[in-house]
Amino acid sequence: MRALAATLRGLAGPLGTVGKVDLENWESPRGREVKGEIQRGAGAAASASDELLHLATEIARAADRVEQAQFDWSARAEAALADAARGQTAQGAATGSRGAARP
Amino acid sequence: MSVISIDATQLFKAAPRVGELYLTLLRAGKAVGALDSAGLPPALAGRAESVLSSVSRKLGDAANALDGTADELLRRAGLAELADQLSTLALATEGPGMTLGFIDAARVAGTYGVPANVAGIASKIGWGVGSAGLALSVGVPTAHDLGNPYLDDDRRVSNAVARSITGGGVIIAGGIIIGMASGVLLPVAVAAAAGLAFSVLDKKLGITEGLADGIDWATDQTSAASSAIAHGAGKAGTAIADGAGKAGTAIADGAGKAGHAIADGAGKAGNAIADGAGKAGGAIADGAGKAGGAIADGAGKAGGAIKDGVGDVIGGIF
Repeated sequence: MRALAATLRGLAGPLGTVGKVDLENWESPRGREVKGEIQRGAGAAASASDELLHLATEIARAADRVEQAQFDWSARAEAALADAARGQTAQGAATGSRGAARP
Repeated sequence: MSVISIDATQLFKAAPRVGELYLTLLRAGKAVGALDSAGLPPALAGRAESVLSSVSRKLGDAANALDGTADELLRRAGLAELADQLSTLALATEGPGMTLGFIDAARVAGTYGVPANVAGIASKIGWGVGSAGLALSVGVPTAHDLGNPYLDDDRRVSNAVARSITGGGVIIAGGIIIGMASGVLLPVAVAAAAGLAFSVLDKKLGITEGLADGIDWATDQTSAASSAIAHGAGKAGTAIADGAGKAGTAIADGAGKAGHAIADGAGKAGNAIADGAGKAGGAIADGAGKAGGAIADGAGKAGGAIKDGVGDVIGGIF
């Protein structure tokens, strides 16, 4: 998940830095058409960059949640194991003291 | 005639940037499309698939819209440059005279790599021609263009035509001089000048049709421009060819005398050139004077004729 998020950020970077293309002196029907296409292309790049960054952030947050859940689960598991181990120790000690009391 | 400003430089600069934008969109679109949502939580996987698909499609569409635009900008920049030179011709011929200079053969040879024999002969003949006010500023760069492997034929011819136009017909003199020495440039330069770009413009207009805005208006304008330029070029070709003929005869006559004199090793021309007042120089100067007058006359007529079509051409191309 984190690798995917990093890949998305890597793709978003160049798309977010597309520079302005200066063609202001070209004023003809075709000129306006081409300038429109360039503007739409630059807009698409910027928009795609935003979407990819947003998705990367969501995925990174999801990865954080999964990681936290794994950490919590591990902690609970370790606690449970520790409890179980303590229980067995206590039980063993109780059994041993009863045996020692017998004649 | 209205003055139309066409910014070829801006188009030249924009072309690589548009090409870069196209490649950025194309590559990113493909890369995003190749990603998958494997390993994501189910709730997020669906949304990720949707976003990736949408972004990939959007980038691909934007790239497709710009496919070929960079090349188009380069072609239009070349046409803008040519149109700018045409406009310059029309303005130049309205002035009191052509801008003329003197030959600096050593500099020219060093700058353009012209063979020494060409530069040497050009230098000797050029003394007379230079005194008449003609220059090799067109012919020598054109010779350089012919040897430049990075230029295609269109570019060479359009450069030659642009120079001939800027120089107001000096290309004819330059072509004859270089042609005498190298035997190569003469037909190229004279053909380009005498035809005065008619075939080139016709070719360029053909290209322009392909580049046209895709509307009837542009096609109509291009047709009108073709007719106008054909009309102007016809007159111009006749006028300049006439001037070139006279110029060639006059210069050849002067050069012949000079050649004989120089060939003698100690003849009149060498001494005269060294002294700046010999028969060879005088003869060439005389020939060049006639040539200059004839070319100026031809160029003036040509400029007047072309001027009529320039506005329409520029309007038609752009």
